[in-house]
Amino acid sequence: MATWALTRGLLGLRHVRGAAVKLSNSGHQFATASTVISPEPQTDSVRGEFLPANNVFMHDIFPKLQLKPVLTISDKILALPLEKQDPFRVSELFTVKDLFDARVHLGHKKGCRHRLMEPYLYNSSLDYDIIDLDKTAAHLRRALDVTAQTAYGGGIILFISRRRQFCHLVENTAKECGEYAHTRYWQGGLFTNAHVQYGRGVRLPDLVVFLSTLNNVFQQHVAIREAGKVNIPTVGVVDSNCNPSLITYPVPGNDDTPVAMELYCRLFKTTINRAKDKRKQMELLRSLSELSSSSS
Amino acid sequence: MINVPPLTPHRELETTGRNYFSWRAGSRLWRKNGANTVYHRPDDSPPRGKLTTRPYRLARAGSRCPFTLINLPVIPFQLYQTKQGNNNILTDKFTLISARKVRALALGHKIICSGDVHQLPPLTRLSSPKMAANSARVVGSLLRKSVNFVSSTRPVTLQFCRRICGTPALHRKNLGATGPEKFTAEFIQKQVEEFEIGKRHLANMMGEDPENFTQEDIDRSIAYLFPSGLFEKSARPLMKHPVEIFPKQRAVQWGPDGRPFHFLFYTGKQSYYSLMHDLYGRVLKVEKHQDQLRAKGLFPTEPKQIALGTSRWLTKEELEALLVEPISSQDYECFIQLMERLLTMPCCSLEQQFVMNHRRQLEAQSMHQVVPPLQKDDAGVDFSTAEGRRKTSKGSVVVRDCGAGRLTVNGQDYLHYFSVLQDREQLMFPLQFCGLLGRFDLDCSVSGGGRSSQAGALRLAISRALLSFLSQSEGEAMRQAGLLTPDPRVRERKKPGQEGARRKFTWKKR
Repeated sequence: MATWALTRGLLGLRHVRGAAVKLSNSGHQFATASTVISPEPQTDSVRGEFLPANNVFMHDIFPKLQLKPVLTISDKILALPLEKQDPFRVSELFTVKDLFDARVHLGHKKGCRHRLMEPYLYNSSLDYDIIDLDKTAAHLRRALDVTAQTAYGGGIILFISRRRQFCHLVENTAKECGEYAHTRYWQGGLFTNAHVQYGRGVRLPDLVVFLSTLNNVFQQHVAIREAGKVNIPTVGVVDSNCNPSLITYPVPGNDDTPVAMELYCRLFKTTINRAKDKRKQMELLRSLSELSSSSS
Repeated sequence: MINVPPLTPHRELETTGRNYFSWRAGSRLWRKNGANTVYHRPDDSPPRGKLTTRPYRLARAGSRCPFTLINLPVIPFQLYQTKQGNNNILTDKFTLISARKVRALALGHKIICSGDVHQLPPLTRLSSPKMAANSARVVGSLLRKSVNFVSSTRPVTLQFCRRICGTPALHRKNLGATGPEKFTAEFIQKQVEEFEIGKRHLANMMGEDPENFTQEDIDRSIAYLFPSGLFEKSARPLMKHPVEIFPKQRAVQWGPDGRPFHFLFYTGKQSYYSLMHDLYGRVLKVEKHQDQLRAKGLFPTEPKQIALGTSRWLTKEELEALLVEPISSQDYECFIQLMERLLTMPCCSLEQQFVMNHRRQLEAQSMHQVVPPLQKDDAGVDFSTAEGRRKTSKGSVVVRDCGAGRLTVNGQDYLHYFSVLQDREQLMFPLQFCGLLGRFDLDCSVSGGGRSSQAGALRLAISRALLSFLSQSEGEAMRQAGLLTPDPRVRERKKPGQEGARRKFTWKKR
């Protein structure tokens, strides 16, 4: 759809969308899921709740333009999850009680508190901040849904965490769900200077999941800024000492306790595996229906 | 390829036999006594770039240049001084083209000229990877019928393709930034095809069979066609298969859909980090095993250690070769630290195989003294042979257990050969040390060096030969006496600026 529009000479238009389509950014062409697989249809109304408010749509600028995309089989497959609410049933994966048992609500002390995290805090007891688990649950559901949508669409998901305790755990999680991980020293320019770092024609991740947004010296991870620069949506577990502003889908929660980290890893892994299985199922169904329709 | 059309001179080149010229810098051309001609740019525009003021000069014919002369017109375009300060593409060497090269060139082949390197383009290959990677290399000139020069009055038109040498990007040494896209699989494939075709051309040129043209033949032909007196062998023109010239590139790391194959691809150092991940996983596994044993109460008090033997860890270079990836020294140290940590654990013998894969056996440190075998000749007499060297002398001796005490050197009696007492003492010392003076017959042969070094060589040879007649302890005594140690001292070379090896010239205060 996006490529179709581009060929019509509307190159000047820039979209900033959530997880759907990535267009060229200041002349750099990054091969994205949408260009490799045929682009997703413009079903904004269903996904409206997930989109940031400052989006500009084609029909706003060109109200009389009739855009009739030709939907292929993959478009129909990709459209399926968009027609339902919570298509991957991520809300069944956890409850607020599970979050409490995994000590997700435990934040740092008042001195470490980040000003922008105050809306997500429930209270503080003896100067220890407590994160509001209702908000966490809602954000986590949204984040898992985005992850599932990306995995369903065949996108690349990159797990990032610079905590040495959980490096092995995160890498194993990534290996088990067939995605990618980066829990080591972040060389500057891995995204912004990708052609030099990796080689020509590399495909960058379509979603970056931060299981801890700080690096070893308690500063914001460089990858958050880099992902923002190259328009890659980010999901991040933000503790009470982290800055949630640049992260697309923040999930306020504890990132220090092993139990909490294991919970997050398990949740993300399950979601991604589910989404991929669903996709395989859909493709199988479609191919079977194709066969039967062609034979009959 | 950039073709600069030939700019004709305003005035014809006066040919008085002085047809050899050299490209020294060049801005404006000057005239002097009719010997040289003046050329100007057709439009007399002001010179661009940083110019030198040294003029052209036409050298005299018959100058001490062994090459045939080419009547090349002076191309009236400005030669710019590059940032490196050299005068540009066309160095002196280029114009001095030998007859042999010219013969090859006259067959219609082009020249690729860059510095000292002249090859048979466009199909043959370049001299060094740097040349290959340099995307701004100079391409060709077409030389038409330029064989007979000396009295030719007709200027030969020379089309030059020259490099645009303005941009700093081209002077950049870091070719890694521009490099990787050059060495794509298609590029290498193209180079291989060009190499094969060029090989056949070369074989035809040399009048040999193209089918059975081996690499040695290629080297020989190139050495013949482009003789180079450069001392640095790697700077000489060469023509090798592209696989040997271009560095090994890793295959593309992702599939047709763009998804990388390795889960740690985005770290940039996938092999190294996957090794570390694997290693840490093994550490955790060993810890878990230990915990299980402890829980059952079966924790061994004397755990079995890994038999390291005489082995060492892989060096950084060996690890890089194993991983096919460059690693930094910090990375290497982290790896060794984690390995050592694995070794400190009591139950580390679980991972013996893994650890030994990353260790190498040490070579034997000590050189055991090789005892020459004791042989028996036809008369039933025991004898042994040994050799020895000292400075530039080489000697060998046959020690016979006859009991006569005779010494023959090069057929002569030793008294005649070694007239100086000191030399004879040297020969006798091993026998005197072992107390076997009158027992053996020695048949020596020695060559090279002077009298003293010959004596030393023979002494070493005698000591070695005696080992086969002695016991272990006596042999050890000989070793400790220094009889079995070859003297490593050789003559030190004289250095320039000094009178000798160490002696300096007389210092004069004023």
